[in-house]
Amino acid sequence: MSKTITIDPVTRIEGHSKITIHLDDKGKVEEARFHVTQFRGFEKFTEGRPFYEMPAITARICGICPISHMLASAKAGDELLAVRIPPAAERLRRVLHMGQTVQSHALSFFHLSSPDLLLGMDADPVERHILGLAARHPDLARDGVWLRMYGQQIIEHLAGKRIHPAWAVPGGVSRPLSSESRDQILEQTPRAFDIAQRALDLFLSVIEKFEPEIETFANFPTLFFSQVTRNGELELYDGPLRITDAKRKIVADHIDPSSYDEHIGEASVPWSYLKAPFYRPMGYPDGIYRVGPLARLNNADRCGTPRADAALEAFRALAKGAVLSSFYYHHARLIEILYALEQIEALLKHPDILSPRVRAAAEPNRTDGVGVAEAPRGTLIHHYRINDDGQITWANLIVATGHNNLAMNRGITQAAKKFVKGSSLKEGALNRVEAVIRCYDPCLSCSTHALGQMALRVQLMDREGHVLDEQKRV
Amino acid sequence: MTADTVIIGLGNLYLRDEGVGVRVVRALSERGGLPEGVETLDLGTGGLTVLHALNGRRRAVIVDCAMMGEAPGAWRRFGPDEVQSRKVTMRYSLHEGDLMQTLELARKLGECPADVRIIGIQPERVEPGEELSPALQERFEEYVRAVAEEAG
Repeated sequence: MSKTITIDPVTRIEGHSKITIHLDDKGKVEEARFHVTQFRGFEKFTEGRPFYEMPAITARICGICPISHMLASAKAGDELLAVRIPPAAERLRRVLHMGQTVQSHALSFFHLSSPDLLLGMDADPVERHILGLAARHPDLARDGVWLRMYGQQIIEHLAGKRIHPAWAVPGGVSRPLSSESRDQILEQTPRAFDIAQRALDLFLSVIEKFEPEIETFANFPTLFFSQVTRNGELELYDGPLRITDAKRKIVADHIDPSSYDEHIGEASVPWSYLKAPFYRPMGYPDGIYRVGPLARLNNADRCGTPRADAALEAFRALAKGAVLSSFYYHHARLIEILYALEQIEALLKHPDILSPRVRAAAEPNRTDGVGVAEAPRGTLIHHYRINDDGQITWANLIVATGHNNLAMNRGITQAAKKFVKGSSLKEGALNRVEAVIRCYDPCLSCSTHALGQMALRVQLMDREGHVLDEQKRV
Repeated sequence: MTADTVIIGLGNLYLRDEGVGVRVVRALSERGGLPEGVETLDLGTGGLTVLHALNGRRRAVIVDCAMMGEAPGAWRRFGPDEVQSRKVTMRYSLHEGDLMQTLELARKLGECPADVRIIGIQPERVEPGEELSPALQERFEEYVRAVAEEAG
């Protein structure tokens, strides 16, 4: 008789979904599936809205990366207006985006991942979370909170105190930066560098303990997909798309982001509302690709900033071609924090940064607009169509967790095959399967566009659908 | 200078009753008349941002939609410890579940105000949309008064 395993809430990530682990007739893991069970109601909800309200509305999709949605949406709005935004506005949007990147990556590393890394994959789940970490390594927890706050304060300086600001608007931004804000951010930046560097050193000092995880945490060849600068450097705000393969060979380059749908297809899988995008020329499922920090560092020729480039050397040394294990998403995230801090410093020191000219005024001049940015978790695409009154008639959002859907499924299958034995779920095995998902740091609320935040479920069942094991963690 | 008391509204404005906490805080802020040293913050679904907003305060009042097994529109006032002891857990979404964890983390880091009060409002409908359901709309003024009293 064949069997399937089900586990309950995956702790510490948002979203209401489920992992099922399916056993074959001999009781060995055959496949694992990542189910997301919410409708994508969001696009429908936006129909009829004025397009200029979209940055503020989409920023409320999710509390984790509101800024990425706001910026992708404002960029789609720039396209609808058919304007080039003022240079100071672009710099300020970049600073904002880097602030978001720092706060999100800090949250991911310190709050979601470091409990696994420092307390161990087999640690008691009662302890293995940020509170346990705060008890055992209070300085590290404090570092994490401080770095997150630093990123959050940048957002507040620029966009105001509320969590979901409507500061980025089609045509630019609504308010320039004050010199006091600039100085305060710059004053805090050295401490942020210290914390980021310490976190990277810490990561490098513990990774040798995780060889089995590195080996099996979604460690397989795929394509990698991200924006890069025009000269091939790391880019998070605006640039052409590049696709590389497992050998780091460029498969497609200089792709205009607005032509994304010529390159990406979206397959539907029967077990999930989350669609499964693939690279069209290779078809489904061979066109599997990954986005996010790992993909960005594999794709970029270099970071283009000195500290991040120095840190990139060790990352490059991990593999001859692309770094393939998703375990290294953590590593890539820490390098990107350094990069983001260097960007913040350079942008804020630019002589034009306090310019009051930050918004281009125009009426809509196009009916179709695409905005693309690299959200912390990967490429974020907002695509809108409007009528003559500027109301949304159609919207399409492709988010990082969607792009990574196929790779997450294949990744949990790989880890389950290695760690899940027999017809019950041992804590350490369960946590490792979940930890594969955490590598991608998925944000299920925005991937399902459900406008809320949900909890993930996991199950172990047999082929007839009998639940063999279920573990609840609340 | 950080205000002595902070009123934090949580929730998602585009999920009907889920956004009630944000609406209450917005109403308080728009109407004005709060005593000096009281600040209102709409933190949406900001999760851990609550932690930064608590630091340096003497008192925090947090208002949020909460699944408490009460009749729709009913509200309850409780402290973080009561949630554990009476098992009024809020598991519908992360920012709720996370709230208790965030408060505990704030304590562990020594950044939690001595006085934390939570106003939980039982939702009727949590689904895409912007209108509060009638059960909550009817009692909205009651929520606003209750929160203002806690902060007074």
